[in-house]
Amino acid sequence: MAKKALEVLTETMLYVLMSFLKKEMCGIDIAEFIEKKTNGRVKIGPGTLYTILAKFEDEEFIVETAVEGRKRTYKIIEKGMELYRTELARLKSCVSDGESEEVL
Amino acid sequence: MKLVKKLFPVNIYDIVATESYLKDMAAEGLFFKKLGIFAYFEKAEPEKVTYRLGPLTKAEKKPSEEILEDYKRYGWEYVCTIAKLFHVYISKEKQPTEIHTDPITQGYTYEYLNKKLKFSAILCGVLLCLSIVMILYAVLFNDQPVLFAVKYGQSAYQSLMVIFGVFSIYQTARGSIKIKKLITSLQEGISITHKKSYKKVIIIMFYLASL
Repeated sequence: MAKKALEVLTETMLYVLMSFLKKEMCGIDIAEFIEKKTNGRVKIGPGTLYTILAKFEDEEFIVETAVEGRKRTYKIIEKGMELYRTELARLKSCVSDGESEEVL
Repeated sequence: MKLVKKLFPVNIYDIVATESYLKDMAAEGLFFKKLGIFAYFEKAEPEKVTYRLGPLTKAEKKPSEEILEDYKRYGWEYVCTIAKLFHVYISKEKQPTEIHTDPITQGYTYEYLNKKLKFSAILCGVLLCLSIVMILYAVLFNDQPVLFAVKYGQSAYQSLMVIFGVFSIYQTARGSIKIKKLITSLQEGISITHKKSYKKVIIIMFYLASL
């Protein structure tokens, strides 16, 4: 039986995708990136991080590029970039809709 | 190291209750080590700790070394794997970072367990049907079913099989429902509330899902 496809891109998932935009990353790098980027607002637990990486690899959003001892490094690929752009556009449009609405 | 043996008084499919029970035992100085028919605890100074159960996401005896190392960085130590269903972790930190911080993502970790439970339910059903057919065959297609039963002890054996089957289906179905509810709530973005009061009951568990 095939694994259930990704239905929702959560905030944490979006930040994980974002972390790959500039360079290849391993688990620790990703956690540090998210902590720094969000000033500690978004915390990612180790279980969440590994589940997201496994899911993203299954869905071919990222690929493993290196294994050094127990450290695995990944990079984002086209399908992942496409998802990131789509989600970012959706969020921008959402913010723009919100800002254009007058507050009484 | 001498271990204290105790009956496990909560249903392990009730994840939050299991975590709470283990935490309470640690507060009494009994630290969970492993689970078979009985639960085994190591005696030590009472301590306030946190336990978390994580479902197996594939067939494995324990999590990979890479995962264990990273969990350790967050203060989570691997304790054991119970009934081929859950990995158990302990944290001695006052306010540890949760292993799972995104409920929707956490929902995905239950896919394998959910599939396993469905398979177990089907297996139980097949075993039960088979036992009923065998009993009916002995009763209906035998000239002297009672004599046959006494002579070969078949009925007693098969009746036990049926009782075991019904009990196993009940346990598996209960577990399945609990896990299904949990998955639904996680998929809706509702995080697990880790504090729970629980009733201690004597349960003899048949973890058919571990087959």
